[in-house]
Amino acid sequence: MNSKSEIIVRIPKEVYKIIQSDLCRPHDFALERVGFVSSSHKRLKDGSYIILIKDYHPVADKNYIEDPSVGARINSDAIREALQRTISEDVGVFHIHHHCFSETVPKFSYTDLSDNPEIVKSLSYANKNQAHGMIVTGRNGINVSILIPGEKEFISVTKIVVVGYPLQLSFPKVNFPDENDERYDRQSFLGENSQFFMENVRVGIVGLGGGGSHFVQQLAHLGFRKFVLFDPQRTDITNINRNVGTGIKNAEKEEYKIDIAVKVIRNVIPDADIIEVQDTWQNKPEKLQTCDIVFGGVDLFIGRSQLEAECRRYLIPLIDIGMDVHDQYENEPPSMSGQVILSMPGMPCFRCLGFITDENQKEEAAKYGDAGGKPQVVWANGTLASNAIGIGVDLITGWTGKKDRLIYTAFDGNRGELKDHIRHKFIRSNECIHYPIKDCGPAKFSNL
Amino acid sequence: MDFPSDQVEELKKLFDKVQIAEEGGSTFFFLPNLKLPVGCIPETVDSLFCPTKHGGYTSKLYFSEQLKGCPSRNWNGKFRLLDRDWFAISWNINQNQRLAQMISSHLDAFRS
Repeated sequence: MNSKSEIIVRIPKEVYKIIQSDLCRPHDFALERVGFVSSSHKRLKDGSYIILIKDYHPVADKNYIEDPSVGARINSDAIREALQRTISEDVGVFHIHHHCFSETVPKFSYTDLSDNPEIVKSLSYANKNQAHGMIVTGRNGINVSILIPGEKEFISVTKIVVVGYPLQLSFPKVNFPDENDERYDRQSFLGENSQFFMENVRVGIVGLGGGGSHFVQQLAHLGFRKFVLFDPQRTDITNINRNVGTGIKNAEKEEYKIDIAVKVIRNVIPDADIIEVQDTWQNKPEKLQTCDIVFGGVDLFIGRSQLEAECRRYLIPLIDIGMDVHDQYENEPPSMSGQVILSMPGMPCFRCLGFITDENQKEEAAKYGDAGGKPQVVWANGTLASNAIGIGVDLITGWTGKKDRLIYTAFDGNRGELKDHIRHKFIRSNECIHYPIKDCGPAKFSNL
Repeated sequence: MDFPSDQVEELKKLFDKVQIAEEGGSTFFFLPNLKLPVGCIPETVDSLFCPTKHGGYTSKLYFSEQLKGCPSRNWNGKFRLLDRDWFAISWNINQNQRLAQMISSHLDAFRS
């Protein structure tokens, strides 16, 4: 670990719901319940860790010991099961319990810190290659203490994200500010700590063209401060019609799109923390994996498919936009359409929604290498990007109070309408069959 | 996804370290150090075989690097699949074949 490395824990909402419902059940004699979660992890080149919680394992009623001096005490059978799991399944294991009295990010109690580290150390002896730890959940936050492979001391994590709509964010090492920043007075309706969350989440933007240039501009004005930007391309004169921030001089000099995006952000937030990737995300995937939310402005279905797969693997919500213009019948004007889709891990994916199909990928592959760009205009890109940013802000702040939203918005550019896509009517399940949560984390191959 | 067991057994005999994984609803066979047709550089590469529709093709064979020394083909970019980068060419084959035959048909693209 070095001073810049982070430990990020992501918990899918569907797993978190199961955890909460089990831990809040009364027990015959124990004052609280405990359980274990299993995880996979990725160690990044900068020493950071991403911990992905995959499953929950309750402790059976019979494995609690009656001890009025503590909230809950479990017997050796419960601990043996956890030890066996880390060995047999090669997963990390975290002890988890709930503090119902905690109003903010909960702290580990004296009892937690005296008993639970011994369980975690035993897990670490059993499987030294995995990260193990202890988690305490509260009504308004989560805290995690972790023993990463090769380390002897427990470390407090940087950020915990319950991945769902809205995101539930906990930053155990950072306190909420005492005073509000008056720059953001007009958006204080977004919630008491909304500015804090927007300042502390890391946002990825893939593609800084027609859609992406709007993303960076609006995110900067909203007060987002942590960015990862991906784009390998230079501007040219044909970008003038739609890339916000690109002027004639930028285009004539063929400046990189990323350099222009950085200028746009720094004009609003001079000290923004920007990771610049003047390359495709595929060449720097770890930079993407650290993001808490990704905005996609990529052109092709194959590009979207790969980006979604990576985001699903690392439990990152992806908000994708796109537009196109098609010729219609003779004497009819061209048809302008577009879409905004939220791809939330655990919920329907692009394929479940019928947005990516074998047929449209086949058609795209047949056109591979065709010269010329797709039609794009600034107002359509701006409309779609603004809608996507609104979704992103709601995801982070939860200001609308809406929960578990499935978002597939259709844009009719000829009518100037944004509405739920007609495919909403045909979605049978709110779950995804293509990217099950159990498959999240670094890819694992099985022997045949 | 289920494949006929005799065809899977055949794959195991031909590629003793073959492994399997799924992503995005597709099944992939990982073929470490797949031996390539004569003349290809390198002689072996890690490969990923998807026997069903993928990326606009009826089946697809991905390679861990672009191949040289063989007939030049239309390499259509880099793909991120199963947490790793892969390369592939634009190449369609007859799908009415056994799994092992399908791999061979994909490799036909590189035979001189």
